[in-house]
Amino acid sequence: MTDMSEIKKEIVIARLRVMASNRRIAVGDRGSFSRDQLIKEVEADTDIGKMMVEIQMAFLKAVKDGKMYAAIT
Amino acid sequence: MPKALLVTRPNHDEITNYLSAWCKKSVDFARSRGMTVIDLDGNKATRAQFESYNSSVAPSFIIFNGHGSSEAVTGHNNLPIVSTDSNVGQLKSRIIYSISCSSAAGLGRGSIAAGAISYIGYLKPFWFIYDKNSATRPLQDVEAKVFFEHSELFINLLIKGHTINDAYGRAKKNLEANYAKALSSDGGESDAAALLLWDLTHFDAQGDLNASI
Repeated sequence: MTDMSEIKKEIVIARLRVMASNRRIAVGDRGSFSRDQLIKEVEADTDIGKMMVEIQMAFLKAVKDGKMYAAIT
Repeated sequence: MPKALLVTRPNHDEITNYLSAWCKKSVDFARSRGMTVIDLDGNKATRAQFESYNSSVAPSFIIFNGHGSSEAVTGHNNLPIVSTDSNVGQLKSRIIYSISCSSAAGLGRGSIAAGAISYIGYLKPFWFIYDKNSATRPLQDVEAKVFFEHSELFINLLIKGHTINDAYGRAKKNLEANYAKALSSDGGESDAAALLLWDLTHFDAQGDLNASI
């Protein structure tokens, strides 16, 4: 059986793969991360990787729940 | 007597350089409005300098830029400037805005308990995107702009005399608008949207929100 957390990681990694290569994502004193570095963080289940999964899943849930439409309209 | 603003703006790494550059615009704006501004930039952003000026000038408004945790905000070289377990009493009778990770969670609540008027900040880490090709020119970085506009708006509205409640509400609206723009963009902006939603969700104001500086 596939673990739900592994499915979430796969979804997040797929989303990160389409991020523009010139972009860096900054988070406090943990530093800034390129697309490839973030993917490694997610794969390795680091604190940053776990937080990125939390952020992306919260975003996808907001989209699913229609929060995106509330913001746009 | 003119109102006073005390700002810490360390810039010892790429992230603090962005925070510092964006807040400098508000420092200049405060000066143009006749405020007394103590600008502890670069290596002047230390606990000793902060405490010295905080005691002697008694600013009505304090802005911390820098790294942080739930219990502290830091300055030059990530050394603590104020923390819940040491000098939170420094924030008594002040309005504080902290552009740092997570400090609204512990330090914010601790400051209100210690007599601060209001504490505005972020309950979780503050995330932003920047363009590595623009890292030496933070104000020209359009990737980063959407993450800092609300902050500049919030500060400038307070400087103009708006209540915290009004400034905070309008800053949140600005973040929402940037979130909506990122969502509706034709480009690959959903990574920006996800982080904007996160920052919006964790942007927090505590204490007396009817106060003004």
